[in-house]
Formats: sequence, structure tokens, C-alpha cells
Amino acid sequence: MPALLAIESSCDETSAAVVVDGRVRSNIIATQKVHAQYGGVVPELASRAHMSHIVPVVEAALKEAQISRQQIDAVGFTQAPGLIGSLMVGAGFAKAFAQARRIPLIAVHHMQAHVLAHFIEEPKPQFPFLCLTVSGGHTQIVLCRDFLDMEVLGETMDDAAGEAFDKAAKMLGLPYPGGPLIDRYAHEGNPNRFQFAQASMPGYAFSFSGIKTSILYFLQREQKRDPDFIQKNLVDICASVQQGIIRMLMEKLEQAARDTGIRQIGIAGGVSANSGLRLALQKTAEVQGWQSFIPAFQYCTDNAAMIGIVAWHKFLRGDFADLNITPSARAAW
Amino acid sequence: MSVRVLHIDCSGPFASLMLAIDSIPQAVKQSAEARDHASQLNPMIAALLLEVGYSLNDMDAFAVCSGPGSYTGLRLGMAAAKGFCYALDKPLLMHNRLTLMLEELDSQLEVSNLNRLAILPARAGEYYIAAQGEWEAAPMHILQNELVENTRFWTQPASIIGHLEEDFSIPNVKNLIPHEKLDLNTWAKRTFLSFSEQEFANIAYAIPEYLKAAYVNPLKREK
Repeated sequence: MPALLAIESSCDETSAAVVVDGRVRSNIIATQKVHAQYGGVVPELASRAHMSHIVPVVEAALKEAQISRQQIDAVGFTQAPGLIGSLMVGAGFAKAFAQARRIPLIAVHHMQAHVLAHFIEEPKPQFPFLCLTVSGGHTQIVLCRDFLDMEVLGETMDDAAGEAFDKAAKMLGLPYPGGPLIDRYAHEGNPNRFQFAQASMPGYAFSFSGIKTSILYFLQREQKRDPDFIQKNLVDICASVQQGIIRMLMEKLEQAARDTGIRQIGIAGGVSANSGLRLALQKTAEVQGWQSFIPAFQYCTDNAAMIGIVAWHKFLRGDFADLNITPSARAAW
Repeated sequence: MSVRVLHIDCSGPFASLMLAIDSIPQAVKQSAEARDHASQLNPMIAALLLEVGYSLNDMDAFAVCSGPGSYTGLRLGMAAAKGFCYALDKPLLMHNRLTLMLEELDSQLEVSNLNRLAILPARAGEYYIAAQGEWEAAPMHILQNELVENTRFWTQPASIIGHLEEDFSIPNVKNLIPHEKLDLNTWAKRTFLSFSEQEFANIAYAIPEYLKAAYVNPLKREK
């Protein structure tokens, strides 16, 4: 049974996983807390933290999987996209490990991995399926014909949905990362109390810069009238912001499902942990007759298990990287 | 039994490799392109080992120049060294460029001065230094005015290895030895000594010696 070591270091999570015969045996994630004090990820600090975490995280992943270094048959790593300094650490370690053990090296596209997070645990979608991948850096609708045959039908033209959540939280004075806090407060609020601008984009394209500006101007206007406006209305603002962002996501997803006739629909990426988005998907699935798929929470945010799943399918096809491969901050599929 | 150590230095614009057996450099390689360590380092290592007929597993240890230098370069060198050491369960040796420069200085002087300074420019008006003598300083980052303050009280002549910015000088300097790249003989001797004395770095937590705090956008820092 072939065993793969997978490494993820694209942003502020250092993660390692072991995949044996296509099944995830371990998935260790070290989240960097250092960025919270700055209200966002500081790239240089992220790179430095990856260097401190990489060996302990890999060691923990091997230990949990009960696999020795000598038993690893290939190494997969996140090659793109991401913070270049962060990617360099994971890639540098992975390349050296593979070279030292004389085993194949497998380069993995991070966004492709988010989509294949659906194949870590049951229930798994059948091909073809549509995946709405939503994170702090990306918002995409992906048509998946097979494990490695994917097409981006549409994506954001500016900001990602996750960034809109985090920036709205910042405007509300919530600590970083604010997206999950908006979700928590939204549970108690009235989502119809306030209305924010909804972008009208062609095809399956998204735009979230407009809603950010709309929230900003709204808060500035209301705070002029009442300086305590945010404190008094926090839960309703959060619920309204959340509904506004989710509505834009779901409209495009429904449109893509209608146009393609696909009824196997999934969501992935960090924002797929948002309870409002999960509920919206489930409700729409009931109405539209979709079969919906949402990865477990630990596979929504950045993790190496999903890198391992892509690496596994590339391993089966003999799709290996050369030792001169370099990470890339941005990369096409 | 001889000790084989693969040395990796990515601190400068060019990546360089050296295989040393005991304290003697045996084979050396330098990258053809500047600032392209990410793509060149691993193929260079493969080529060097092929030339000398060894495998990575034949190495008894891996040595890395821990800094100062380009942050990205330092991380690439360190990540590779950690990957090799971890994969093969070999020890890691880390040495600071400035410390090695002081050792190189000592080996080059016929009569050593009391005061010795290794110095590399950081950005304008800033340096990385290590000093011995009347002013003892472990490798550190320093501003030019602080450097002036610390060297102005030298009562004895000084020897310097490294580079000073143009139109800047330090008084009482008897010898100024330019430094272009790490002296491989000095490094090989140092790693052999460190290996013999088992002065190994902790692979899990070893980090480059940046010698300078990470830059954080002032707008973020105010939060």
C-alpha cells in the first residue's frame, strides 16, 4: 500500500498529512496565532513560523499515521497559489525529503486540493459535480469532470468572499479573523434588517468589492447619527452582511447548476465552514433536488489532507515534478 | 573514519555548495544564475554528488549557513537542510557567516589585532556585525551611528573583514580584508570541529539567523 507524505504551507497554516492507499491516515495542522495582533496575515512572519513548524508537524503526522520516514513512497506539496515565502518553506522541505529518499515529488495546486477535499471522507460526490470554493483568497465555481479534470467556470473579479467577511468584521471592530465572529453573531440577528449592495456580474463571475464599500459607507453614515450604532445593532448587521454575501454566492451557484444540469453540488474552502452558507446550500439543495456535499470542518480550512488526495491521484498517474520546480504565488490550473 | 558533510549556503545572491571530507573541501558548486536558489539548489546538489560519486545518504551531516543574508535564501537553504537531515536522520550543523568571517580573519592575519570586526552591509546605514576585543558582540544587526559609538572607544588597532559603505570609515583600522564569499576552508574546518564535538542544531526548531525583526507594515503594527 503506497504511503504519501503531503505538506501544505501556502498561507498561515503549516500542515502535514499521511495518505496511505488513497486514505487519509493523519492530518496535523499548526495554525499561526502570531498574526491576530496585526489584524491579518503578515507574510514575513508567516514564512518564519513555517520554518519553526515544518519538522514538528511532519513528525506528528507520521507518528499519528504510524508510518516511518522510510515507508514514505512519495511527497506531495502545495506548489501554488499562496504567499511565496510560505510556499518556499514547504516546497524546500518537500523537495529535499523526496531527493534524500529518492522518491517521487508531486506538485499540487492548492485550489484543486480544496475541491478534492470532498474525497477525504464519505459521502463523496460523483462526477461530474460542481464545487463552490470560497476562502479568504479565492471564490470560484469549479466544474469537476474527474479527479484531475477540472474547469473554473467563474471566479471573483476582485476580492474573495472570505475577504469581504474579514473586512466587514474589521469595520465592525471585531478581532481577526473576524469572519467566524460574524457567523457567530449572525445567529442572533435579523438578516433582513439592513440591505447592502449586490453586485451584478456577467456569467459566473463574482465581485465583493461593492458590498465592502456599501458596508463601509452604511456604517459611516449611521455612526454619524449614533456613535453607538454598531454596538446597538451588531447582531443584525452581522446577519445582514452574512446574508448579503451568501446570496451572491448562491445565486451564481444556482445559475451554474441550472446551466450545466449538474445536481451534485459541493462547497469547499475556509468559508464553507460558515454555518449560514452551509444552511443556504442545504435549503437550496432541498428545493432544487441537489445532492449537496460539505467537507468536515477540518478539511474546509487549509490542510494537508486535501493536498494528499490530489497527490494520491497524481501518484497513480505518474504525474511527478522535477527537482527544479519552484513555488508560484499565482498559477493557472 | 572520515566525516562527509554537505555544506549549503543560500545567504547570498548565488547558491553555493561544498562537500567536505573531514576538514578539507573536496568539491564545490555555485549556481549559474543569481537569486534562483529555489530552482537550482536541488539539481545542483544532485550534480555535485554525481561528480564525487556519493549519495545524500553517504553524508554524515548537513551544514547550512544560518545567516545573515537574504531572508528567502536563508529559508531555502534551511528548509533543504532540514529536509535532508530529517529524511535521512542525519545531524544538522549551523554556522553564522559573521562568526566564520572572524575565524577567516584570524587565519589571514600574521599578527592578530586585539580588536576584530566582521561586517556586512544590510540596507543603507545599517550593518550586520560581530566583534571581538575591546567590544564583544555576538552576530547582530546595528545602525551605523551605533557602530560609530561602539568603535570610537577602541584604544587598540583593529582588523576588519567585510564591507563598509562608501564614504564611511571606522577609525584605528589597521587591516581591512574584503569579503566576497564564505571562505570554504574556514567553514569546512569549523563544521568538522563542530561535528567532532557534536555541536548539532535541533532540526525541529532550528531557524535562520535573520538578525533583524520582521518588517510589519506600520499601519498593522499600530493595532
